[in-house]
Amino acid sequence: MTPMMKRTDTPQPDRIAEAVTAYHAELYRFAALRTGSRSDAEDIVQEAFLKMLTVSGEITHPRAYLYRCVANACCDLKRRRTFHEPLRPDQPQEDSDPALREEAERLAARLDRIPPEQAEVIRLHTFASLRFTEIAEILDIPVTTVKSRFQYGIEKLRNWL
Amino acid sequence: MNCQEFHKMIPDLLAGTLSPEELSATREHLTTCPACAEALRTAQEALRSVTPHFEPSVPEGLEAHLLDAVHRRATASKTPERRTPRRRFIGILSGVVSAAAVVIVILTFGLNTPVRAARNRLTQAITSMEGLRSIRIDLRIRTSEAENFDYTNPLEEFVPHTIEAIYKPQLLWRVEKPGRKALYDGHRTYLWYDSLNDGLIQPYSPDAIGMLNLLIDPSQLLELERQLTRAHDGSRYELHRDAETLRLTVISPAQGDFSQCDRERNTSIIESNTRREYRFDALNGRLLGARVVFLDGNRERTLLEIDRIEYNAPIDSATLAALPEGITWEHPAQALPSGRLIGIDAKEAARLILAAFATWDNEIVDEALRNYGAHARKLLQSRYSGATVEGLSEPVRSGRYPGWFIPCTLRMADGSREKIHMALRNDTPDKGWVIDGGL
Repeated sequence: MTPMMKRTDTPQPDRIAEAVTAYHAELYRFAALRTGSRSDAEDIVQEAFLKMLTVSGEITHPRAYLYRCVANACCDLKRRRTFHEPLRPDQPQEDSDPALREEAERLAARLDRIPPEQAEVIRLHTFASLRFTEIAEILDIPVTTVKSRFQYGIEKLRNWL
Repeated sequence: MNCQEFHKMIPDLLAGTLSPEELSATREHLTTCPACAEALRTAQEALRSVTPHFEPSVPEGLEAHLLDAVHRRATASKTPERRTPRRRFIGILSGVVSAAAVVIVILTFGLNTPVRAARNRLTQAITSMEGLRSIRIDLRIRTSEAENFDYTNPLEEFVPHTIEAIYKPQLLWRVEKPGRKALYDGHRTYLWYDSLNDGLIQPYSPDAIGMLNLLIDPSQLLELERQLTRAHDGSRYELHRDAETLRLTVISPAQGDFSQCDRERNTSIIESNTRREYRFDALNGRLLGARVVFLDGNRERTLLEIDRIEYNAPIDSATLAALPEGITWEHPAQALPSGRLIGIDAKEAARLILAAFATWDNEIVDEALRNYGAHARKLLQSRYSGATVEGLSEPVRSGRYPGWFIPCTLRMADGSREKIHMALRNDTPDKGWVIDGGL
């Protein structure tokens, strides 16, 4: 059990429906920028909402819970694809939105150069405009750790400029 | 404020989360410290370099689609008995007929752009896959665990599948997903369902695994795609190449006749609008992976994705052909028909079968349910025994399904009312009608 959940009733579909309405757009944008693929983004976001149905407790911070699901799923997808087929910026992938793919590849090319935990904090901030306190909630780490990861990550990125 | 204190403030300064007092202090420090001003400037530049240049647009209808998916899943999990998948068993008794139908339907796809390049690529890939000894494929399909291997649904979760085949000295294969498994041991095809411990034994029946039969030897799939390139009826082809990978994309419309009923639309890859993406090794030509994406207006959804293909994988033939313990096996092809479900139309067959439900007349019911195992028949008996017909509508066809759907209203033994769409087909060797799902 994570701090986002407490044992109460099974999550009500109505509450999940509210979460869909409130958060689907920002989660989709985050996943799309992370994966570069509209279909992957849709898949990942849907899985996150459906996963809420399986939680046997009230999710006290649904937004943070959903971001965590989506961020983890994006990492898993990237790992799977990288393992089986290295992704490179010059490698065309058939998807309906080449501009999105290009932008995702541009961002990944930079963020992949720094440690993943630092990249994730920066990504949650720049892709999703989340505040440090919100990122702390999603990653389940202290705000001070979020800030230090952010700072170290930015310093490393500066060296690449 | 000194330089060390300033550096600690940089994250909040970049994120715009400083209090007015802190902001004022940092500004004051910057006026007197060019080094910190430069540090801030480069940090801002670094942050900009990883900030998206645009916000991806959200597909129209995404919210409705997600709400629908949540609603369906919530409903399904509340009433698991209603989620019992419609077992279509397509092709179990009529492998040859259905295999021919697959070829014909796939042949009706076509293309308009780089046909020749696509065809050449497929030819090379097929050639490169000659002489293989074995294969193992890991893939994921949006489907339900117990449904037939053809069934796909963009609203379902991914179900992991594995395919293993040995080509020499004799063809053996095994296909598994949670809930349904099949193997061919060189003589017979075995299909079984874990949850019911029911199994069916058939003569060689590649259609027991539906479309996945094309992946037992992926060159079959590529051969079909190659034939499609000569059909010229509107599919679109794209070919991309880089140093190591070659990608072929085929965009094809749904196949099947939905003029009477939409029921089967989007229930299989072939009955959906799709984009099929193949990745080939540019050096040796072999297929590296594939993905099938469901297309619905401006929305997309991956239906099938091959995660891994291992050529010449070390597979032990005894392990591959090992049958599970505890399964009750039946031989539906050896069932002797009574003849009462032969030579009548679908509606009459439905009427006879449903009438037999009331008294659970084994002679007719067992014949109609010969595609169901013993445990499944017992479950159906406990559910439908004593049910009487309140309404029976005209049979309709849908998509590529070779049988008929008959909407029926039943008064159950407990007095409740139930509506079903019984699927009946008679493309059996003896032309007798069998229930193929819908219960």
